[in-house]
Amino acid sequence: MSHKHWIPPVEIESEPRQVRDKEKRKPSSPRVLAEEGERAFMDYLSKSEFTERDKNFPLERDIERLRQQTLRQRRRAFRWFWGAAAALLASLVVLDTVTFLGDMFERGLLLGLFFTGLFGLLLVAIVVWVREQMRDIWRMQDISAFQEEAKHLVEEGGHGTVTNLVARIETLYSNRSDLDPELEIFHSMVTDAHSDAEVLELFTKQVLRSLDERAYGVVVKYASQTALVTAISPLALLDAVLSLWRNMRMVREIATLYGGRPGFAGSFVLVRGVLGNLALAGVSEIIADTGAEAFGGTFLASLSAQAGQGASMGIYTARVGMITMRLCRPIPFSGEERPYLTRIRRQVIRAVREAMASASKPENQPRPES
Amino acid sequence: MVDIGLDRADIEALRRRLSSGASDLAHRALNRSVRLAVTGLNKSGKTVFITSLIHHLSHGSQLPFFKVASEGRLVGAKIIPRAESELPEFRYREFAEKLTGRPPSWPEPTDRISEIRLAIRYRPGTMLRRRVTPLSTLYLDIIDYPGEWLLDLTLLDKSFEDWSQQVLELCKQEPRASLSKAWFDFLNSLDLTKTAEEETMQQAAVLYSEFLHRCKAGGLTLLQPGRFTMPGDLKGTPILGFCPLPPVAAPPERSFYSIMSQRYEAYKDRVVKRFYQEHFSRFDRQIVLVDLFNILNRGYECFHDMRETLALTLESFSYGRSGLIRRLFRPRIDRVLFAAAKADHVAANQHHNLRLLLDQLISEAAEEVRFSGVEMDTMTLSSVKSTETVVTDHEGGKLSCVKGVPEGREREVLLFPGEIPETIPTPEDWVEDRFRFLSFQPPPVSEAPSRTLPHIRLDQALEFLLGDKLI
Repeated sequence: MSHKHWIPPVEIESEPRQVRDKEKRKPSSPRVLAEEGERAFMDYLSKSEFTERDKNFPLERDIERLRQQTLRQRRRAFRWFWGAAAALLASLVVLDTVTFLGDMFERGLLLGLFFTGLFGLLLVAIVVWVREQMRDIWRMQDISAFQEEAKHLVEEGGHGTVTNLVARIETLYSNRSDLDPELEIFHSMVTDAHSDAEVLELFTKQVLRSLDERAYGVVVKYASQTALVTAISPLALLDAVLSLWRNMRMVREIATLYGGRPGFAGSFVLVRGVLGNLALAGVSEIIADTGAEAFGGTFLASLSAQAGQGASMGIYTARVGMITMRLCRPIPFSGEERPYLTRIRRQVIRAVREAMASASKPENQPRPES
Repeated sequence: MVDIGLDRADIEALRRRLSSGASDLAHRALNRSVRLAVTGLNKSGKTVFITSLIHHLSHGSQLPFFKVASEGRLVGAKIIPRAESELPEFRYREFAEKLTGRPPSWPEPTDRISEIRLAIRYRPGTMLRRRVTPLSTLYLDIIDYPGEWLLDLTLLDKSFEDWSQQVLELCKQEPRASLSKAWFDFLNSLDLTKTAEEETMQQAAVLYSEFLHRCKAGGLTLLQPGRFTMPGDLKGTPILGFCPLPPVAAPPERSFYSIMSQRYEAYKDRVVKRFYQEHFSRFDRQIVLVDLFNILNRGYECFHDMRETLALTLESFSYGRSGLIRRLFRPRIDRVLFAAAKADHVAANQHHNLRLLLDQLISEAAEEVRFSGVEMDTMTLSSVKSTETVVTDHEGGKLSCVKGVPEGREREVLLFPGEIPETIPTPEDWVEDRFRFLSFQPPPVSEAPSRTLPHIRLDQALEFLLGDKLI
C-alpha cells in the first residue's frame, strides 16, 4: 500500500515525570505543546497533510440512519392507525368526563370539586406511570443498542472507541452493590493497551460471567419447577395457564438480573422479542433435541407419558429462559459462553425422573391392600 | 586422522540426554512437564521476556487473559535448581533486580543458551482432576537460545560448494557487496589449491566474521552460519575457523579449499546436529520474538532480509522436512507463537497493523508449518510496558503518541513515532525518517510488594503457550 499521506514522526517534550496512577491518561496541556512545537517540527507540519482517521465510520453511520428512516416510514402507516384510534378514544373519554363533571357541578359545587380532584389525581398518576413505562422501554431498547454496538466494535478491531460503550453499560449497574467488586476488578485490569475487543472480553469475563451463572440458575430453577408441576398436576389447562404466568416471572427476573428492570410495558416488549425468537429458533431446536435423543442422551421416552409431558414443558421453559438471556445481556454471547440447551435438558429430565422415583416409592405401599 | 563419528563428548552427551529424558518422560506422561523454548534474534527481548514471565507467574496478578490466574487457581511459581543440567542457569534474580531496582534498567542481552526450571503450583479446574489431587504442579523448563542458531538448519542438507555459491550470490548485491570487500579481496589474493596454512585460514575466517558483524550492525539478519555472530561458548575455537569459498574444480587433499570444506562438515556435525538432537528435539512449545521496529527504522533491504530470515527460521518447525533431517531429529513442538516484541514502542491502536505486518512476513512459511499439524499464532506483546498510549490534540488533529522516558534522557517525552503500515511498504515508500522508534527506560515499580511490572498481552501469550497444560 503506497500510503502517500503518512504523518512524519514528531517528538514533543512534556512536563517532568508525574506520579504514575491508574487514571485515564490525559494528553499534555496545550500550552506545553505549543512551546515545544516551535523548535523541531513546524517545517514537517507545513509540508504534511493529515489523513482522515475515522476510517469508514461516518459512512456506515449514514447507512444506519437511512435504514432507520425507512423502517420508520413503514411504521408510519401503523402509527397513524393507532394514533387515530387512540385520539378518538381519548376524546370520547375526555368528553364523557367533562360532561360528567359538568353534571356534578350542577348538582353541587363540593361534589364537582371532589370529582375534579379525583380525576386530577388519576391523570397525574397515569402520566407518571406512562413516563416510567417509557423509560423502561427505552432501557430495553438501550440494551439491544448495546448489543449491536458491541458486535460492531468487535468486528472493527479498533482501539479506544469502546470506553464510551463500557461507561454506558456500567450505568445499568450503577445501583448494584453486588457487582461492585467485579467492576472494581475490571477497572484495575484494563490498560490503555487493550484493544476494543479485548476490553469487551475482559468486561464479559469479570462482570457478566457471574451474571450469566446466576441467570442460568434462575432458568434451571423455573424449568424444573414447571416440569415437576406439569408432571404431577391432573389438570392440563390449569398448568398451561400457570406455566405461562411462571414464564413471565422468569423473563422478568432474568431481565432484572442483567440490569434491564422491565416494568409492565417493558415486559411486553421483551416478551414480544422472546416470542419472535422462539418461532425462529423452534425448528433448529427440535432438530437438536431429536438428534440428542438419537445419540443416546437421556431418553424422554423412558419416562411415563405424564412425566414426559412435564419434561417437555420444562424444556420449553428452559428455551424461553435462554432466549431471554440472549436478549437481555448487554454484550452478545460469544461462541464458547453460550448456554447450551443440552445441559439444561439433562438436568430437567433428571429432576423429573428423581421426583417420579421418590413419588412411586410410597405408591408401592398401598398396593398389597388393593 | 580418521573421524569415527563418536567421541567422548558425544557419549557423555548421550548419557546425559538419556538420564534426563527418563524423568522427563515420566513427568510428561502425567502432563506435568513442559519445555518452553524462547528465541529471537539478538536484542529482540528474550531476556526481558523470560524475566517478566517468571516475575508474573510468581505473582499471578494482572493476568486477566491467562485463565489459570484469572480464575484464581494459580497458587505460585518457584525456581527449582537443576543439579543434572548441562546448561548454565538463566540469571533470573540478577535480571529481576535490575528491572525492579531504583532506578530501573534493562538487563544486558545474552548470547548463549541457558535454562531455568520453574515449578508452577495450581488448582485443577475440572471437578474430576480436583478430586484426584487438590494441588497440581507443572514443571516448566524455559530454555533461552539465540535465534541465529536456527538459521543453520538449512546447512544440514547443503554441501560446502552449494552453500558457498549461495553466500557469494548474496554478496553480489548491495548492501553486502560493499561490506564484504575486505574479505573478498583477501580471498582473491589466495591460491585455494595450495596446502593450507593455519594462519591464512584463521585470517580468512576472521575477515568473514567481521563482515558478518558489519552486516549485523547495518541491520541485516540473514547471516550464516549462525554461530559466527552468536558464538556463545564456541568463541575463538577452531571449529569456527572456516568461511565460504569460491568454487575450485578438483581440490587436492590438504589444500586450503578441502580443509575448509572439512571444517564446514565438522561444524555441521558437531555443532548444528548436536543442537538439534540434544536440545531442539526436546522442546514442547516455542515462542519466537521478532523486533520489527529496528527493521522498520532501517529500511527496505533489512525488511526483505528479515522476511528471508523468518522463512528459514520457520523451516525448523515444519515436519515436512527432507528425509535426512527427519532421520536426525523429530521435532516435538506442537505450538509456536510468533510475537512482535516491544509493542510499547508504538501507540496501542497500531498493534493491529503491527500484527498484520508480522502475518505477512511469515505467511508463506507459516502455511507449511500449520499443515504439518503445529498450532501457530501471531501476537503483539511487550514483556515490560515502558510507555503509555496518549491520544493528543496536535495542530487540530488527533495523534496517537507514546509517553515515556527515552533511553539516555531524563525527562518524559511525548513521541509520535510514525504509523505502522498495514502492508509491507514498497521501497519507494521508505522515505528518510518515516519512522522514528525509540527505546524507552523501564517503568518504575511502586513500593507495594504486590505491584507487578506492567505488560502488554503477556497473559495471552501465556494462555496460548501453557493454557492447555494448566486446566
